[in-house]
Amino acid sequence: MAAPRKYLGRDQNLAGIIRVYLLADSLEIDELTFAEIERTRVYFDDVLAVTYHRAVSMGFSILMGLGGGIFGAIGVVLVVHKEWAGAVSTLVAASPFLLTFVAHLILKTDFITVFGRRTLARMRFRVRKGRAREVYKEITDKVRIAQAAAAAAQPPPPPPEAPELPPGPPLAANPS
Amino acid sequence: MAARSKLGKWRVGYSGTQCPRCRTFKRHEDLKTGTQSCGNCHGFYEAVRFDPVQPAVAVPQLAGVGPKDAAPCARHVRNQAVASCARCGQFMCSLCKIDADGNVYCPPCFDRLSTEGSIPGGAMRLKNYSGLAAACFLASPFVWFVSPVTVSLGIFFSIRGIKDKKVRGEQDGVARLYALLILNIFELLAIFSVIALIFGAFAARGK
Repeated sequence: MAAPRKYLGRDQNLAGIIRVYLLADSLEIDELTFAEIERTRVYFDDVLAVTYHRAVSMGFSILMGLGGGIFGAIGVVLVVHKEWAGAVSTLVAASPFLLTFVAHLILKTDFITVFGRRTLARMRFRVRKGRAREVYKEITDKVRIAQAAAAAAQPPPPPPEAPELPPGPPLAANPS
Repeated sequence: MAARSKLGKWRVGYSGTQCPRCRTFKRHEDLKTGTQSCGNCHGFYEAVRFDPVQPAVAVPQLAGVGPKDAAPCARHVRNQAVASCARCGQFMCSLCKIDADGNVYCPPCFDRLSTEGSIPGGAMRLKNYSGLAAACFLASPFVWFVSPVTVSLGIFFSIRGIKDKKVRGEQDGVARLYALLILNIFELLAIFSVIALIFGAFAARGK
């Protein structure tokens, strides 16, 4: 039976989806491709750094911009040709794309990256900024606790070896 | 492990801390807790730096214990055994023992069991049953001439996925698999209905 896990967030690119889960002692990363899931872990006592930044997601912006641009351009052409019914329906179809595009440019995407010794975990939050902050705090707190416990559990350093003594004075010749 | 990843620019050749914006390698020693600026992309990011301790395992030596505790490790004869393998029973020192899913294994048994998939926590590559079932469901209308087969496969993958989740004790994604199972069953029923209608129409025309 695997350890119970809690879903934290996801990252996505053209190749597939990455889902990040919280375990008691680590983050579990599921990389989903079409037929396979590759599972890796970043253990809290191996974490080197946790970062948080906000950026415009280029792929998402281009996708939304293109969707809105294509429908919008068709709508404008229809307006020029006074095809009102077609123009309205096309502009209505363009509006969700354009609204999402503008909202994304204003809000941006929050990224959390956890760097381990051998691998990393990354999550993105487009809308739920408060949730992103919560997750960031939760991860940093857990890493702090785990690393403090690991430091405390270290065996005490071996006692320093006794320094080599200089050779003693030559024994005096026994008078008897 | 990092080089095997498919999704990854991020993971291939991973060598430690990087700028999260431009992925330029940053020396861990140069990273500070607080707001950072990347020298390469000039982007800002917040960072918390950690300095994990190098794990040092205390290995009791046979020479340091009394004759009563003098069971040696099967691989390191000078080290005192601290556990025995749950599979083969071999004595192991703290260097050899591997904790996995509540049991302790020696390295060869761990390799063997995780390759076999007997240790759920040790499996690194799993079948994406949910993705396969979804693909079967979505592809069936486009390959209508073999759709009874693809939809049946979708049902099979959904059931396998649900069983797999149960074995692993995972709760996430189970609802999705049940939904895919229901959708695939409905699709199968719809396909059989269409086939029945077509045959019915032919039969009616024949009469």
